[in-house]
Amino acid sequence: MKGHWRSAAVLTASVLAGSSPLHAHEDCDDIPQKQSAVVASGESVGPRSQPAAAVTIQLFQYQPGQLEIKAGTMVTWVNQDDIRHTVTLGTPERLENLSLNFPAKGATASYTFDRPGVYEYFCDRHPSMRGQIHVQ
Amino acid sequence: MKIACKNFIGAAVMVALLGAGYTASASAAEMNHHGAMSSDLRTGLNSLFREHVFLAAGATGAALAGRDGEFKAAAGALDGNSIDIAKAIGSVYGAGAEQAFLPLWRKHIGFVVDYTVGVATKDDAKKNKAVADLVQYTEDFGAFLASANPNLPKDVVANLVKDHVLTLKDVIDAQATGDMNKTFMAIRSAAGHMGMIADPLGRRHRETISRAFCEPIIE
Repeated sequence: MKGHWRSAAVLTASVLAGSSPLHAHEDCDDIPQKQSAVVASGESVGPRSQPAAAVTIQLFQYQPGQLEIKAGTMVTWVNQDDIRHTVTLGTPERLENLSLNFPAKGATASYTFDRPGVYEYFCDRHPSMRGQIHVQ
Repeated sequence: MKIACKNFIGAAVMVALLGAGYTASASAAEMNHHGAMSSDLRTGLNSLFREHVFLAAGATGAALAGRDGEFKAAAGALDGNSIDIAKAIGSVYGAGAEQAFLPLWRKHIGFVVDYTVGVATKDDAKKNKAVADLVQYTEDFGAFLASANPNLPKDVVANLVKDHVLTLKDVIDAQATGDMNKTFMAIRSAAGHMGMIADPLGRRHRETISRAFCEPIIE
């Protein structure tokens, strides 16, 4: 699944509304807030036809914890807790190569899942926080 | 009127959550009395938090004295207390909050164990790391409750929990010296402090419900 994450999860947070998506970050910890704020505002992000889904990070939980989407869907996470969280791919015992950082309340970031599979993720600061995405 | 109805629905949802399991003996009539329930929450949390201190002190005292069987028994009872505290949180903020809270709460107990091991082995680096982890944990705890209830400011909660960490540290340090008078004074002090955490939680919860009902808060 490691390879899947790297190749399928393409960072798509836009720099400006309506602009082209960014592409595969090696290290996603430094995603500028400006990029994701566009996603949070509900303005257009990425190609108009791209399906989208949202996950809220609140009360130290990913809500929904499990998400079923079709390949090509962009998932956006929004941190509603006043603490740093991450969306780190894999499990604490089996780390993948990508991690989205949500340094404070209101931070958002997105990924597009291009390949089918089951993608697990967790928060590296609070490893009991777990989420799963089923891509069909 | 529209706002009042909306608030009433919100409060009714919270009342339903409260009744979901915190006080098993709560009757339907009691559930309608939000003031009494908030009072129950405060009393219940006070009791559980104080129990937490006594059981934690029992566990750390046994660990420092090398009484392994006693430590395991105390640790088991302490975990039962943790589960009850999580249930109390869940009764107010829902099952998801309960599930998220329990590992968070257990995490700080793990750090206290780390500190105790550091004291027992005279490992200053381990002690310092445990203290740093505990201080960071207080931020998590504050953020959790602030997220659960916006009337609970993160920093205020974090500082209260920081004091809990420090008072419990005093207990462990006293236990390590073997001075029983100092130890039991420290335990009393640590247990007494827990009311300073439970009371605001109960009070803020009551304020939240009262606002939902648009009613004044009468102490």
